Amino acid sequence: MSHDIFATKNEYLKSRLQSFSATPLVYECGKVSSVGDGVATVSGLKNRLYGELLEFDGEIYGMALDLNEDGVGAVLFDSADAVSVGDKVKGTSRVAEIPVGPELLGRIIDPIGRAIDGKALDAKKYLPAERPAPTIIDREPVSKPLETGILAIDSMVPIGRGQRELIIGDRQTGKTSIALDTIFNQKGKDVICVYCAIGQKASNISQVVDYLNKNDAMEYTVVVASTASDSPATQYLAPYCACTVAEGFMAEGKDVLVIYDDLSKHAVAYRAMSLLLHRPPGREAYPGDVFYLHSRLLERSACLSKKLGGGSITALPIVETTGGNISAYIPTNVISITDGQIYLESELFHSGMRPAINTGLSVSRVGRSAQHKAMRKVSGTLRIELSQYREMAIFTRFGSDVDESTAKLLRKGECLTELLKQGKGEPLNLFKQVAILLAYKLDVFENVPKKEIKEKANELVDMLQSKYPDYAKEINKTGDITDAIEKIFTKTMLEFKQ
Amino acid sequence: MRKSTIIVADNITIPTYRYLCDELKKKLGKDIDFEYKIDNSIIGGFIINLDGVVYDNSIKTQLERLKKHIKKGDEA
Repeated sequence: MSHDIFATKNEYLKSRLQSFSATPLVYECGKVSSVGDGVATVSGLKNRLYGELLEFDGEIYGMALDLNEDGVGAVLFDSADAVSVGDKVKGTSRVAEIPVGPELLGRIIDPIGRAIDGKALDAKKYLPAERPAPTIIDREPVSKPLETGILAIDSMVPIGRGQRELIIGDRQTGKTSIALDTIFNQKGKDVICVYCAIGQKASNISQVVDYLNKNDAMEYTVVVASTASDSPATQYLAPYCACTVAEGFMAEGKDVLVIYDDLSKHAVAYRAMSLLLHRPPGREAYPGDVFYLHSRLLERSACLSKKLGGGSITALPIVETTGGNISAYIPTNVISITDGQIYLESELFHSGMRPAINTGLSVSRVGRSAQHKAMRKVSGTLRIELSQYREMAIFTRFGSDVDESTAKLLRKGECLTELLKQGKGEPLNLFKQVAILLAYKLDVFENVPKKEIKEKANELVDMLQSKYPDYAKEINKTGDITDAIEKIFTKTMLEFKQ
Repeated sequence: MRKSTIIVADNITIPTYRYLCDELKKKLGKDIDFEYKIDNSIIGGFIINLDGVVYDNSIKTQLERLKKHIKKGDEA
């Protein structure tokens, strides 16, 4: 037995030695002329690519971002203090690359492509971090829904596969929770998820991974993590790497969901890098190309044509605002790039409305056409009713005398607000969502006190589920509700009301 | 005159070194001024640095490359 192993090892060594060719190495070599704050200027490198990886003494890597006649300005990925003036710098003639493929599922990697979860990573394929977006001909209109499992989103701001929907709001308003619940809801739906943390606290990232692990969501998820202590260059590269990982899956015809958490920190990292490279600052000290920074990233999300396998990348970028100011520089930029936004408000959050979605300011510009038929049937007028209610609620806050129709509007609005409340980690499938909205339409909870509405709704849904499991399955499978089923449900609900 | 450094190990003989310089001049142009440096860590072979471009044909680098090459196959 041991002899066999020895023989195979011998064979293996022979084959490796035969495939080795001892050609001389030719590379351009420069010298570090100044270094500081994670940025090094290198003299002597004249023929480098934009974004090329440079190898400094001691296997430290950097990226060439400023190309001059007599050298380059480079940002360092790690251990900037180990580089000193006079060190040798090698050009590698390749741009930053990241591993892609099914081996990455369930793994945590950093933007340089190294596994940081303590296990070995043997990827077969590498792709550059910066890649051109799919062309017009490669694309197809968004037509399939991406279910988030959150009633308020799936009914009023639906998201389609291939869409880019911004999640925007102040800190601590549940932005990441919405993203994580969406990942959680993709279980068994053949959607690959990529979660990209940009400049987050390491403790937050570990919480996210913990949450995903607990809910068995890691098996179809890849985490690309850069923490707040990583160099600005690493943070800058993170979302592009996450997108490349997603593109690897998309090319195989898979539907992918990418979450960039969050792009305001990304812009800040890029600002730090640009200022250190002496690029002229513009508004809020961001460099002039900060719009292009995000537009070229988000343009890479797409719904590919059948010819190219029909895969898609849905992007949920997150942007943090301060003091609810969505007209700041970065939020307006990203709002104009994306196909809609989900706006979270801290006031709503503190009044107990979770998720704290402001339905008036939230829109989805392409998701409507991708919505399930069943959902379209029951959710048509929700937005108008809710905004009428909000308006009327402010109007009648001080007066007690209201006419009958106004009182009904207020009561219905209150009921809808209650029904839209949903805890973290409790996604609803299509059947449940449709049932709840149908019950709302029929005014089933007319005589139920406000506090018990949610409870009654759950009771009703459970009853329908156990009474008609086949219908529930059919709705979830076809995405449509037939008139016959709707009639039966209506009858049962009206009975339940009494 | 363009300047170029050649790094060699001290086991090189003078005739070999002269031959190397002549051959390099034939290939790269006659206007090169060679300056030699001895570095025994490269074991054998030579490294030339001309205008920032390095031609590395040392035993040390080849051994390192061979090590990486064998290891890489290990992963697959």
